[in-house]
Amino acid sequence: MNRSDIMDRLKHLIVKESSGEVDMGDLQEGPDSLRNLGLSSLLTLRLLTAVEDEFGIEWDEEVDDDILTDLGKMVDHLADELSAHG
Amino acid sequence: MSLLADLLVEKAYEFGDRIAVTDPRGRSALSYAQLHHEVTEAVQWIQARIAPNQPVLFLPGDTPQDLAFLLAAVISHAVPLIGDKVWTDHEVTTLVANTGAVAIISSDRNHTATGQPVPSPVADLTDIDFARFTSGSSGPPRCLGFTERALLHAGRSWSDGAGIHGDDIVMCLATLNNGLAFNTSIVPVLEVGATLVLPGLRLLPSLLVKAIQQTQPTILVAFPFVYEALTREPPAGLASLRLLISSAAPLTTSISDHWKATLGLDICNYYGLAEVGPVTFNRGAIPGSLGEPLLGAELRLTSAASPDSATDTDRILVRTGSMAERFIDCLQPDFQSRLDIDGFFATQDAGHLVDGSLIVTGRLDNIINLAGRKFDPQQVRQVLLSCEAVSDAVVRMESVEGQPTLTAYIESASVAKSQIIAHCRNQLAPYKIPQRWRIVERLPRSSAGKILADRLNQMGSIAQ
Repeated sequence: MNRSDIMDRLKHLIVKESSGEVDMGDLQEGPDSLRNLGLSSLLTLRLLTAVEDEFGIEWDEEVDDDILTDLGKMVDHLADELSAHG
Repeated sequence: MSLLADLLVEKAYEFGDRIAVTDPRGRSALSYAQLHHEVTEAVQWIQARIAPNQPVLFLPGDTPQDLAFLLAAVISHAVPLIGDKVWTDHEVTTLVANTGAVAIISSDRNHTATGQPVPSPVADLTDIDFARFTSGSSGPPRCLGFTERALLHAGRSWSDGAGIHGDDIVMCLATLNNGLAFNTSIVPVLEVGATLVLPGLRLLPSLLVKAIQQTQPTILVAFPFVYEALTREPPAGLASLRLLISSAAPLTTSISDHWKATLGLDICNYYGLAEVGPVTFNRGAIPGSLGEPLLGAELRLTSAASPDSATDTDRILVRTGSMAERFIDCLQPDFQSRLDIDGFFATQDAGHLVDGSLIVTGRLDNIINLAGRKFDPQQVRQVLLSCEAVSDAVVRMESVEGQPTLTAYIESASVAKSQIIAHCRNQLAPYKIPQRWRIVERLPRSSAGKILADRLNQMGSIAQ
């Protein structure tokens, strides 16, 4: 899966898990791009859990905060994880 | 002389090498003896920097060392004003001005002088050992001064009511400044020689289950959304738990039913306020109730006008041994004006008693209770209105798929959602930022120009 595919799947996942509060037009890359979506604690938790299920990864407890708050960095992280685990 | 210091010495002798507080991996665990040593060292650090009886804004983290530092701050004879590390710079600046805090100390022992006069002229700190903040239900959070005696009373009444024992392991997922942690998970644990687990981890179900498997807690203290999130996990990983404690925010029946069905456990709730500490505890046996009064707590109900109808309802008044002494800031009204002639604190909650158990039926004001955190939607509205491109706004709670959701209706011809959220993030704690946005050029209004609240719900299809 290339970066563009991951980005596309991740964007669809965010829209789906946000209970209609986020649409594709809201999703930009850059610092705090995910944090600025204003998702509640529960929606954030649901999203990160859905990412684990969708991409077959597990978040490490020491994952960098930037990865969880920046859409582009999350995609890069997922690409690295998927590449490392074949 | 410090009652809390005496307690730590006593428990260090009594429990010695038993673990008092730890993280899930035990990397920064402190035994009772080590906790006492760490607190003693931290008291010296604080006393070298802060003169006695001066207010200091203290923003603790959530590690075992942070707990030691927090306890040391209470003992140190400085007066720590225990705040929330997620407050924005704007909020911190406001609170420093209101309280006259002479310094800010963060969990990494970063000590910053505020430039406020020393000694502080703002507040009467006589007999005050520490302070906590209200959740800011009407404007900025109010700063409440307490004695150590009140702190220990809150802890003892809680450990008595909840039945915490020396062999319990309490995992607390609330931050240390929060009432849920402060009253249920610090003194109650230390008092009986139990172990406190401060996960300090991201609240992901998979990580939580790992942490639970690693530490085998018997008691979980968490907000409702954690209980909801954990429902997707296999119950076998949670089998060590014997007592589940949630905040005063309501849980949906389906979540409670799930835990009852899978682990046979009720999620216990309680009633408490920053001003008076914990008041009641419900073991879950009476659905919808917040339980019976804790040791030393008394309830009284008086007639009050309901904001939602012409009928009267009952206002809850409480008196406890854990009550604040006074507000220690420059704001009004003062604390005494909230007390009746017998010293009962008049809450803004309405309710009644059923067989001695408290049922809270609503608020007597417009305060929002979101996952246990209370705040005034008008504060959020004022922040929205301070954005140049916004001409008007309505902020309120709405139910979205059964979940209470803070919703903002924005009147603006040009503002983008990302722009307004960024604006809010600079001025509001994260939990006060609306999760649902409707941005329109014009909000529905009556001919007199008043916003028609009952037509806001119909705006979804035309909203940005």
